[in-house]
Amino acid sequence: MIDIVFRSQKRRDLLLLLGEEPRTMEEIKILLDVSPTAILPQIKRLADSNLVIQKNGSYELTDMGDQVFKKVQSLVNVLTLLERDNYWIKNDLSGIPQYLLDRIGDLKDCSLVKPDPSQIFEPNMELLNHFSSSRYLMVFSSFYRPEFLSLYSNLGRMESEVTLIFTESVLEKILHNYERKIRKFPTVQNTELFVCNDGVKLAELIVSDRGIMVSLFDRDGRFYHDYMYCSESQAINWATELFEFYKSRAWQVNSETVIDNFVCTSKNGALLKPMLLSLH
Amino acid sequence: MSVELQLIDTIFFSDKRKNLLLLLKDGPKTIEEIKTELEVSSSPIMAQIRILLKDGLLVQKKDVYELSVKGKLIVPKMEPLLSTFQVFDENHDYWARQDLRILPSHLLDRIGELGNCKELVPERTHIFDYPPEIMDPLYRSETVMEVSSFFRPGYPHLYLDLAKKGIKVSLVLERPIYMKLISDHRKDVEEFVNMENTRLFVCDNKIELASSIVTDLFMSLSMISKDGRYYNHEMVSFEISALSWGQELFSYYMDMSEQITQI
Repeated sequence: MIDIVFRSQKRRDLLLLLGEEPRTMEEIKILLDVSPTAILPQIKRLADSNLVIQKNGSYELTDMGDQVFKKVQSLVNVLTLLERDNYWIKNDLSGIPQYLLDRIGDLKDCSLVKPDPSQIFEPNMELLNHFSSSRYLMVFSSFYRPEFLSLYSNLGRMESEVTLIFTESVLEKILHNYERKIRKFPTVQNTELFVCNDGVKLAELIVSDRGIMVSLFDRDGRFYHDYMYCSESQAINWATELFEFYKSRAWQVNSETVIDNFVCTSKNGALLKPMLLSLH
Repeated sequence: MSVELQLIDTIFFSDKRKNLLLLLKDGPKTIEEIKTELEVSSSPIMAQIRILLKDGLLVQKKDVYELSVKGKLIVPKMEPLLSTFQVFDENHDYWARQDLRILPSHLLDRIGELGNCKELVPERTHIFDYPPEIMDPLYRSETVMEVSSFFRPGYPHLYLDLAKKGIKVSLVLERPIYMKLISDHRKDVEEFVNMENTRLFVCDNKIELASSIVTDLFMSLSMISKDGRYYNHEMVSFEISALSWGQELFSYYMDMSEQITQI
């Protein structure tokens, strides 16, 4: 079976293609960019191995083929992700829980975005514009990005659901500079604000219907201003689950009293117990 | 969509490399441990280790080798793939004939856990019975669980006999089989139900398997093929992972069934 699936890239591609849905020869030709004479022998090989069957003019996977497809897909996704960019292996993945690491292949279509060195300390307008028309927005950030504050309130006004998780030092800094604005968040419908403790091993995560961005620290805790971006639904689902994971471990700031408490404890330098976030 | 995946060659096209990766999945090992566990000599395995180091799947820390971050992302995906392929390869024609979707999907996804399976087909003289190869382990088991959608002539007697020997017996039967058992062998069924070490469940849903047995020694599966035909056979595995797979299959049906405590 290893030889049947992996000895030929054409057969592997064909298996992965038919795993999505049955296809006619015309579609196979176009999608895999092959000639019928090149692909027919490979189809025959898969059919002889009972992985593919021809039905009503199109080719589809058998039950056995489907099971083989699932296993191949989950491996190939990870291999593709790693082949495409070494972002994931050179950075610190420990902020991602194991059940999502197991599915990291879902991010295979991500591409690396490197900011222009001259722009590194400028507000990231590109991201801001990209997410400005989101129908919903979920942001986890361990960075202070004041330029995003107006985006949050605009979206909130436009009735998009906005959920924010900041680390305590970020929230503290925002409170210090924009206290009035942030005080309004818990009172705006569609907007939820959460806080989690510092030291989280995830730099930033933005999830919206427009796409996702994830950025990580390297293993020494350094940050290079680059991030992974993707707009595929698989990646959006994955990132939504990661966001939910952080949300479930964060503490909701749902009233002004909580903000008052926060201001007060952070001045004293003490840490509120519920804010202690433990990952594993 | 197509990416050339160089690593496929590295991970699959050498048994030594493949086995080494799977071995290191359980944790770091020294070269001595690797040599002993894989039964290989130094120089051939060192050649493979160098390839794996070069491709970034392994890292060396002093005299210990372990999976790199990359390796830890990849190797866990190899294992279910290889075990699934192995199960299909070993009895290719059998699995190709079956409608696999009748298995609960969470168990179908883990079909690799059946491990090394053997199809047993009884001789003509035993055409309605279990193959002799499983009768012996059946009697040596401490617990026997079976889910069945068809009637074997040996049923009431066999299970009563097992139960009388002190074996814990649990049965899930499809309603029509239960009805037939009651009408043909009422006394035996009553005796069975009244025993301490037995449980009988009746399932009103369609059980699409012919039957499946799981004991503490083996598990076996008997399926009705795609074209609806059935011949007496048992696909048997003695592997530990197959036993828990079989127990989950039994529980799946038991959970949708009603326990009979009195007839």
